[in-house]
Amino acid sequence: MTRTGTTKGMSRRSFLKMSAGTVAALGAGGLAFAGKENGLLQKADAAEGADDEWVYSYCRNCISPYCGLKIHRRNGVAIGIEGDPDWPLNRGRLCPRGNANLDALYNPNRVKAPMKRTNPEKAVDNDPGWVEITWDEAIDTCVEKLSAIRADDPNKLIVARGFGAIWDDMPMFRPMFGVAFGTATATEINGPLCPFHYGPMVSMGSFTSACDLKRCNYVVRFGASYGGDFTRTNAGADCLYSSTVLLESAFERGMKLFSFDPHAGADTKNYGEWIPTKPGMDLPIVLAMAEVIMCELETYDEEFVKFRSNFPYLIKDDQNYLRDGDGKPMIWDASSGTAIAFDSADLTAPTLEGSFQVNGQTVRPAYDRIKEYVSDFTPEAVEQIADVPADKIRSITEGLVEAAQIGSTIELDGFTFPYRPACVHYGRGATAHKGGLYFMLAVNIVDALIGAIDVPGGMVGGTGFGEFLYPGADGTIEPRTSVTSHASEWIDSTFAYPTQSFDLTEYYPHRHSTPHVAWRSVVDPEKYYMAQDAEAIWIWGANPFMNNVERAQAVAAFKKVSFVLDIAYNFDETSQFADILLAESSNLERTGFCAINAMDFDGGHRACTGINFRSPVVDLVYNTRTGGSVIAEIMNKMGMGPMMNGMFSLMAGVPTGSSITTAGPVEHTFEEMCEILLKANYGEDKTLDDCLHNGTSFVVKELPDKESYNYYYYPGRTTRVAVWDDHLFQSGQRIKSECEKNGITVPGWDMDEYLSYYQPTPRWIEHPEHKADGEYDMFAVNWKVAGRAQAMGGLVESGLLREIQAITDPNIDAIVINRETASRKGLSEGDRVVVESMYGQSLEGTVHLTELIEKSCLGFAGNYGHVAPFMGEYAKRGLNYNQLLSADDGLFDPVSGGMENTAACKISKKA
Amino acid sequence: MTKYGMVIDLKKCVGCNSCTVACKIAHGLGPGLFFSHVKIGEHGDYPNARMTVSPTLCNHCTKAACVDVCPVGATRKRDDGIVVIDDAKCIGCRYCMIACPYDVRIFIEKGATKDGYYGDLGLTDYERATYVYHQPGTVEKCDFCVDRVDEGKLPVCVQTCPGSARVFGDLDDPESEVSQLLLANNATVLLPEAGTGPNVYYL
Repeated sequence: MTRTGTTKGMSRRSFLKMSAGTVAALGAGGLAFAGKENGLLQKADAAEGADDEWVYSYCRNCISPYCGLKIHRRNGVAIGIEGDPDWPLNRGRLCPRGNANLDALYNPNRVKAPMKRTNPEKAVDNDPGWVEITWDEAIDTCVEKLSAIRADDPNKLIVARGFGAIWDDMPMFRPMFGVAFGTATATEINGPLCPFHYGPMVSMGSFTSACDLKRCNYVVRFGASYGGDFTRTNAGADCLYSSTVLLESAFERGMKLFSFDPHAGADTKNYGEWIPTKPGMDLPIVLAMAEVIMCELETYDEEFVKFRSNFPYLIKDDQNYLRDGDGKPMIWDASSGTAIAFDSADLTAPTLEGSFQVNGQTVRPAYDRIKEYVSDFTPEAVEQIADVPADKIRSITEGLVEAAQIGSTIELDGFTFPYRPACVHYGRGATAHKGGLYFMLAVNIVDALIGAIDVPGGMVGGTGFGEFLYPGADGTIEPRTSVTSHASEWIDSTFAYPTQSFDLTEYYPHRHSTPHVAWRSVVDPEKYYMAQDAEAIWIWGANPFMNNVERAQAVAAFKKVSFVLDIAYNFDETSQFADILLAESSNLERTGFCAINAMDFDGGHRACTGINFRSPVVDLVYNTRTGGSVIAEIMNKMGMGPMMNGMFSLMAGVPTGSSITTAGPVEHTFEEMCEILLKANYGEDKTLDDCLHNGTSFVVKELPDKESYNYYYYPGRTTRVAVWDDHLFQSGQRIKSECEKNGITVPGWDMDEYLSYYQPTPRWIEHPEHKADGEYDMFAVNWKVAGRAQAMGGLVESGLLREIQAITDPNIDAIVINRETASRKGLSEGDRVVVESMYGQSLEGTVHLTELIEKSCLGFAGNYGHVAPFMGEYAKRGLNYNQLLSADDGLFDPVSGGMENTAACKISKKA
Repeated sequence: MTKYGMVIDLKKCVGCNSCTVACKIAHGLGPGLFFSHVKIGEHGDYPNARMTVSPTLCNHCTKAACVDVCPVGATRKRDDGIVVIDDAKCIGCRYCMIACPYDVRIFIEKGATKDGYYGDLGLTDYERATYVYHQPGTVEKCDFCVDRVDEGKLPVCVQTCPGSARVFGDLDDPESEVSQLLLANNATVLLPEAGTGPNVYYL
């Protein structure tokens, strides 16, 4: 059911052809029914009013922000909302966060104007003594402070953002500001608890990975519930279905799902099977799956393993590739009985097992080495470690191999693909561990064994479409840095000593983000070899005090710097440390745009690209501004305008060679830049106002199905997945060498331990929580809830969402414990308890007893319990799970930067 | 003759309560006021336990007990089967609430439209604009978003459902999706023993 794409204009989509008059007539049509029984909003007396219209916008209340909105505006007030039924990505659907947009818009607890603090004492729970100021004063103050720092040493500024209030212009303006300013520290507060990205970067050159729900028949999931806890409503593999819908339709089709998770969610409600799993035990289970395939079944996708992965690459004893005179990795060819270059035309029979002598060196194929390692991880051995029945691991793996239909093909749009409708896939829970990166590499190994990487039915990439990867010099996949989002995580960072970046990119080149490291290096610059002291923090929509762990470290860092600029929607914990608060507009008050191909979690929008535009749906409710607009003004006033203009054209996607461009020395406002982007892409006659009345986007380019799989671009034997991650290994070796050269070790780490995480194949290393003192006999775990996922949209204070959660979901704001465990500990439903973690932190709450959680786990749904005094009351209810955790030196993953998402805990009834 | 009804596929419902949010926003329902919601529960023993969902709303019963007991004819059943309340006629006697076996009707207390979600901070612009359409001292309930239906649109809970668990349509039309679903599945209704003939079905 492939539909070929359109390029420009409104030619093909009838809904987008609608004139303003048509839409207005629809809106008025609703009023014709005024006076009906119980019609409530529709039986308005405002039928005569001039302003009564359904207008268009889009939602940005999650990381997949493409849902079209229709807003019912009457007399200037937004009184109704629905998904745009004609928008191909959500088809009228909206998740709870999307439906709550109006509550966020009119939230009376918002930051309502620019502010400056009068109380110099900064604390998470005091009164900053806010005084309202003009926008001119706010911006001039920022310009003055930032200009002085920039003239002195730009590295003294830390630029940080989160998932924030509105995920619109922030992802672009944060890096633009950081680069133009010249600081080495541009970090993301979101991320260290979701270090999900290096694995797909290695296997698919992609920022994210997904299970191809449209075609998959058998998925083994780790560390995330599907469909319910996030509840995305946009986009499916063919742009017709939402991801939750796509999951449900996959189930109806007969897809089997096995969920290894501490907690059972909606995905195992009817169809899937839940296998209760202790936190952090995902890696040994996946290693056992590899053992079953490699050592017991000895059934694998031979073509993929031999010609589309580096399984056959010969490895020397020092773990480096054996290379030929041209530096090319070599493979033992059984037919010639020699080692030859991986891309030699003479290669016909790559050898996977054995030991060979080449030029006096003993070498073995990567396959052989990996097999030797996993051979210790029999299901029986892993049962002893992970407490998951061996039979279960074995039978699920056997089912996986069978379901993969190795050798089968499928034709899409006249192109023949391997068809592998089975895969192992995962969510953040399995990756946010010390060692979580190795888990991702282990999944790559299993999916490579069954040939299910970036082919129909398997694990697929989702960064964008087209050629966003290419085979590197070693023949293995590398992300195309100009196209792949966050390819910087794959690229080595430049080493510098003394350290220039507070988040220590020098030592964590493949981090997703390491803000937790930054706070420590701000507080103790000497320990982290910092070249400079931190002077200011520029932060936007981010809350390290709630959404990261170790609040005390962030507090110390924010207190230490002399100036904090915060673009804020709520008076959250971050605002408590700001010197200047720049009040941010809501979703529905903004001019903005968003590209529709940025990323993909669940198989959605694989074949759909375009740009959404919007203009304000309502007048400003308070004296706020769009963040991008404020930053653009600051950059212009600091003389960074021309740099911003050029970067904007490049990053936002002004077509190369367009006569309309932001590039040049002219000072543009943010709104002007949006208009230029619109016209450059879709024609000079287009205006932002069109988007309000006609729909949010002018172009949705739907790609043929075949073009949304990497395999199409590099089919057959044209590239290889690096199951032996030489790239990672070389990064470790390079940092080791740099450290030795400078006579130092990686700050905060024992060097040998640090390097043990930079090995080319996954190693099982016990996590900190598995080594806790015996009295800490439980593990704290956390999962997303639909009403809060990613804390976006400024919704944390929504009374509407919190009330609904409170009456419908007994897990919310509770400490969730297995019923049998509770009985053993003498706990009953509703008991007040204290949970104390191995790191000495504690939370007090009320227990909820359930059968839906692993017996050794304490569950915390969502992330609430704000403590900032000026936040709305709803935000203060509940518990902040993160406060139980630690990201101390040596306690996080030294590759991904991922924080340890669990802690060993003990629970006791409150006296 | 049209007879509107709804089929909710419990297997497809993921319990996100997006329907509940959409319903409350569409109808300006303040704190404590619900026309519908989805309660999360569980069934079975560890490790084979499963999450359950219980969506409830007005069943728009064929033999609606609420219609029969209304002394002033405020509650009536339209020709298309939708049970509606005329708040101009409702005297707030609440017989209907007693008669309804499903506990899906709500009484708008006198002060109910004065306080919104944000207490002392006052009503928001949205609350001010929407709460005025509720008459204190009357009974309200889900009306299948009758005005949207009359416009040819779907009830908001149906349109917004992320899992497409809810299907709305004409039960008298054998070709409609609701009819087809009922034909192909063993559907259940709530409290069949009450003899009310609910028109909200569960798969």
